[in-house]
Amino acid sequence: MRQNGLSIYSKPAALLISLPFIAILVFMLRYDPTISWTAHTSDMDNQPPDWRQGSSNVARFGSWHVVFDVPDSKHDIDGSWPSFRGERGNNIQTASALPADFNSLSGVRLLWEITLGEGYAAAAVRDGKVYIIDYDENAQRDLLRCFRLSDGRELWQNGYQQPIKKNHGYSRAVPAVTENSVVSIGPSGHVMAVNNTDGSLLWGVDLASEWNSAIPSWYTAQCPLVDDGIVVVAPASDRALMIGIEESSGEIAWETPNTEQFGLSHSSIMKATIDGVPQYIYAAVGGIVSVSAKQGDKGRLLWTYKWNANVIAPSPVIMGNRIIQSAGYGSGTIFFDVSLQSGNWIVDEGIHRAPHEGLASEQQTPINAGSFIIGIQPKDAGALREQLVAADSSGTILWSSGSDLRFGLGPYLLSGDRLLLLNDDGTLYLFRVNREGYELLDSQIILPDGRDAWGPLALTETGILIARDDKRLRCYDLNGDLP
Amino acid sequence: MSLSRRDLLKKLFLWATGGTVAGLILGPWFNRIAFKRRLWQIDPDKCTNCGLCENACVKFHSAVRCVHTYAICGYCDLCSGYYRQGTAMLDTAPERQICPTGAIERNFIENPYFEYRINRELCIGCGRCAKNCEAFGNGSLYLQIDQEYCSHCNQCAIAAVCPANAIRPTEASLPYLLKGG
Repeated sequence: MRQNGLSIYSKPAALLISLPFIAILVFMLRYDPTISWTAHTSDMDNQPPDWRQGSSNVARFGSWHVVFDVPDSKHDIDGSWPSFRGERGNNIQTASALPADFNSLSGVRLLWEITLGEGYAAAAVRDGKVYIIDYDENAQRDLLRCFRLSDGRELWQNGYQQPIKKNHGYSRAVPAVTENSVVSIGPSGHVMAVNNTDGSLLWGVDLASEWNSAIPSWYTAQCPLVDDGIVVVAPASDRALMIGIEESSGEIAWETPNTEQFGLSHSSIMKATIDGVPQYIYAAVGGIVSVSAKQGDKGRLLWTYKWNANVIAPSPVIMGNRIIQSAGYGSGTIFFDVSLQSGNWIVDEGIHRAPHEGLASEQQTPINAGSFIIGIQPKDAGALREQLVAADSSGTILWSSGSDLRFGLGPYLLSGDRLLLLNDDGTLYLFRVNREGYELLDSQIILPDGRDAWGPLALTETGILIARDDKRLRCYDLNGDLP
Repeated sequence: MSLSRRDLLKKLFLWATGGTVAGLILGPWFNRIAFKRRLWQIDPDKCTNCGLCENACVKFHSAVRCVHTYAICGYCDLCSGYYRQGTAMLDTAPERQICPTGAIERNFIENPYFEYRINRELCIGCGRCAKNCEAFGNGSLYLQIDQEYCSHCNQCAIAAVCPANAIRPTEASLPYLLKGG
């Protein structure tokens, strides 16, 4: 039968044919393919809230103080390297530390060795004594220890209980020694000043509990700066960016508000004079800052430069008006200029170089050698990775040590045109360097079977070298002419 | 010399029995000497984590996986093999992770330690985590051919393109070239 040319079965047939399609459509509309998915959220590692705030236990400064009964030394040795990066904060010792014909390490003589808790803290030297912040794993105690330079005999130690777990070692900073006192910063941010003669406690400040500092990953490596009777440290917390503490009394002399909420890094404060104004420059997490060191104006924030590098170990390098700041983990280096114009600080935009584009450093602070900068490139620096390099003030590489001479994260320092470089494995290298090139003069293993020899070197003007690996401190007479 | 049917059958039986016993005894030894089975594996000391393994393998989902040697790991909160560079917040948000598939599972153990585990089903062998771990960390994360997923091709397609010649045959008794081991 037909109706208007169509079969009477047409409509039911069309309905029947369309039913599967309708069913598929309904299924597609109702089906959720993500129903078995699990959302990847930010809280899947079970970390307790606020665990990074550290211990709420306030350290009992001075709770451990021992003075050892040590007979007088037959031969006292003088020498000075009183703080992080030496007397002038540039990691350069006077040329007189090494004789003009010092071209070989074959004559170096081991004076003494002591065992330390695992870490990277290094020595400061003054008036024939060696000072180092150490960690006693068994007693769970930060220890500021004093040794005699001539024979390594321990004279005293002062410490406080601080239970922490090994996190790539424990102690990291270099103490600062002045005429009267020694100031140290422990891995958990404990600033302690003691009498440098007998180690008796003068005062202590806990940056974490008193100043709300958030101690960074792998503990703090900030080294104290003592300037004109004031201990300058950076809590970099919501309470203060930088503080000045009276060296003699522990009273707070001044504090700089942390308006930008910058964070605590592993970097240390460097003092510099730019356009006639003395200032303290610090690389915080979030940016580089400068605070006035001028009498009558101390503690005033002068300028800031924002830079997002989350792990900063090197300290700022200052070349005239130029600030050079490196950081690890691929951050590279920034180069920017600051100047005082009509009473206002002008900070230029600066340039950033990735590690493969120019000078960079992951851990050690490059050395401003006057007309060039010395550094060791990090592992992510492409063809120049782990090579010793010289660069100009904008980071352009002038020369490199070549693919056969690569180094790790170890320290290096200058004395005249001689560069002493300690590789991770405890091998000491002696170079002659200048802007035009380098000459490898000699190398010698000074820490046999060394591991992670990253602690900064100390070199006195009398030619005494103090180096460490992760568990040993060794003292060498480089010239081999001491009694 | 004539041979009776009985003697022939007896000799044949003796030869067959002797041959079977000798085969059972000497077969595995001969197989080990003459047909030593070789597996492809990545030498972690040569690997540059270039990322070619991810797509060069004949398998749709590459047989290469990241492995983690816990004895080398620092158990750090800030793990350079887990987080992208410049990450400020240290948690498990996917946008902060290097791994494009979220194959690394991070777990808090105790202050200040975290454990990082590789999910083999999710890992695609791209090597991004291993590259960063090598550059900024201890190198405890690195790539290996997971023999469970490997097709054991006569000629490894990844070895053919590896710029560092890091893939080499290894004995079946030593299927993995692990660091520190």
